[in-house]
Amino acid sequence: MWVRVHRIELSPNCSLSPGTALVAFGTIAAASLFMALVFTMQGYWPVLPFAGLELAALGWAFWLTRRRARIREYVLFDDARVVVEKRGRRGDTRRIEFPRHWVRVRLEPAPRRHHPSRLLIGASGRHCEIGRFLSEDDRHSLRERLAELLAAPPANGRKPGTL
Amino acid sequence: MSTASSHVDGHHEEHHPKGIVRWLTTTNHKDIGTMYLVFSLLMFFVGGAMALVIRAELFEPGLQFVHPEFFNQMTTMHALIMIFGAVMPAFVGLANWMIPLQVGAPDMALPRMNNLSFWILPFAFAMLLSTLFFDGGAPASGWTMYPPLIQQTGDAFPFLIFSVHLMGISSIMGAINIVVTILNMRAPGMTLLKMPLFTWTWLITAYLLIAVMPVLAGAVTMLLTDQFFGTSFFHAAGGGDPVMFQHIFWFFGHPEVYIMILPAFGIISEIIPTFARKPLFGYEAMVYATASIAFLSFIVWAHHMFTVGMPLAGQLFFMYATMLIAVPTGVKIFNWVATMWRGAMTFETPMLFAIAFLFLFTIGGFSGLMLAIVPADYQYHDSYFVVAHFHYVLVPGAVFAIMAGVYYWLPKWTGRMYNEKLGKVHFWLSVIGVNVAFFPQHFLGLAGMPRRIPDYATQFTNFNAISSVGAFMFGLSQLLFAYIIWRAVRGGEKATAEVWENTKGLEWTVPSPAPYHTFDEPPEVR
Repeated sequence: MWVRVHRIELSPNCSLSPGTALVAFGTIAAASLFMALVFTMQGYWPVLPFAGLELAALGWAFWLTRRRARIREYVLFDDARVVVEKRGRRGDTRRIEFPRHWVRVRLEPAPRRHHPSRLLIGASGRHCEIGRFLSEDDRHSLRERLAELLAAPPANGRKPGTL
Repeated sequence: MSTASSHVDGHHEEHHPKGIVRWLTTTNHKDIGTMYLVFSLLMFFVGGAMALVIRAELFEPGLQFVHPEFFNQMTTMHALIMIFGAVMPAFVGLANWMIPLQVGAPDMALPRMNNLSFWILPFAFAMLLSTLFFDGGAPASGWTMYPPLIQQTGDAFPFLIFSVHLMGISSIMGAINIVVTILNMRAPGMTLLKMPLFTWTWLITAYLLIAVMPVLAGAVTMLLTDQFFGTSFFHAAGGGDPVMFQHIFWFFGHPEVYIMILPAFGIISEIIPTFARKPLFGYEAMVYATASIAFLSFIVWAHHMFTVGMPLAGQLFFMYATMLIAVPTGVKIFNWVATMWRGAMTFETPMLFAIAFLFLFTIGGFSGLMLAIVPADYQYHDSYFVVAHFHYVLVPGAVFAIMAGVYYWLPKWTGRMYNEKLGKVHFWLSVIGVNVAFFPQHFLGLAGMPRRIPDYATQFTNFNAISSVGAFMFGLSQLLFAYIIWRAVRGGEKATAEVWENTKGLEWTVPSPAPYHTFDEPPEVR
């Protein structure tokens, strides 16, 4: 049987690409190590371990922030199911399935001014939040897109869940 | 497959602890920024009190109030506290408050490390200040810690080294945090060349800090091992070279000078366009000029030590390289003036401090050029002319920029306007005080008065008396600064989100006071 699948991928804002991170770390490491090595060659070696420690700390900081950028959320639609898959920063994944015909998408307004709204997807009393890291505009667009996909008739002609 | 909870985690509530626990455990960039700023103000008063001891003693010739040994302790501690305790933490405090707001980030990239980097500081300075009560007193060999003199320090010596290490660790953690925050947490659309100048200058400053702090750490560690572990890095008797310490120290020390002025350039570049009601003239040139100054800072260190002896080629290289710094600095001064040119200027307190910065920092820059000339430096070296020069770049330079920044952003932090009249009174007292204190020191230096002495020949009396009056005027007027801040925290006219007319940047899109959590989701930059 032919099944139509839609897949939406959500990722947090991360202004540093892996390449740029490497260049940023590489330039500072090269400069710092060059200085430390010159001092070492002159006999003033205690500069070197401090430079090494510091670069290790800087590298760790870059690694940590890059790891945060690995967070992903996928929303998959086929004719029968809506699957939400969340990948954490450690690469751990959670997968939640909902029967498509019962799925509702709800955008809860922010509890306080200047706080973000919450986009909830779920069915039958179970729901989960998606797009926590998106901007307010993007979260609204996502809600509209999800609603559109849920309203579209599935390939087997059954009536979809409506909002 | 896991099941979804019927109740998802609520992360939007404000649930920060109250009282002292809040301040001890906070990871919020605004709280940490506030702590840095309060700490630096406290250190400013401690270091300032030491300066007043110095100026009271120098009011007239002869020894009136303190012993020469204690006088030397005051000069050393004043410098260490003002550099590492007042100016640097103030800039880090401003960075903590403003960089996440300016780049549209919800917080610093590494909030727990941010907490740690602040809380190291009170311990470092408590340790340093405690040496005043030791047998033999506090370190007295000057903040440059030159051997072999530094090795005559008593019990205070290892405490000095350890506290410098702690200050360095704190600075490095702060710098790492700033680099990763700026590079990784910018809002969508906030490209590098759209970043506010304050953020730009801090990014470059953080790079400088990361590059030079291991050098300082290595240098002071070698002092320690020379003293206690039998090494001879700087012991001439053991085959070491004490002059090499000066090279290593100033290889750190000159970039350190720029670490204390580049963020000031950033603040001034934010304030002048706002109050001139024009965009900053030559934004990209400002960025490149800042980067050029940072690069040049690595190749000019020996101008601090021309008189120690070096080959002629070395003297010429360091002289010309130093003079070269005037070019990007001139670009900056030109761009600030061009920004004001035909602008609809108003003169609120931040703008007054910014304009005073422009005039007075330029004076400090010019006296720096004079000092760069090798034959002239042979005359000026270790004289009061040098004291006048670096105080002109550090007080009406760095400190005035910090004060300008505080007045400029205070309404964003507190939600209240400060008292403009009192702000202006503070400005005029400060600007008059600072000039009365430091301008006569040029004449003293040119007339031959050496620095770091508690007594002097009688021909220097008049200018010293004038300088001391100015120093007390400047010092006491800072109490008014503290009062103005306290009043703005307690109450006052409500500030709007924009605070000033013609403000540009994300920090002005959030309400005043900025909510405890801002930009939980990234804003759009267009």
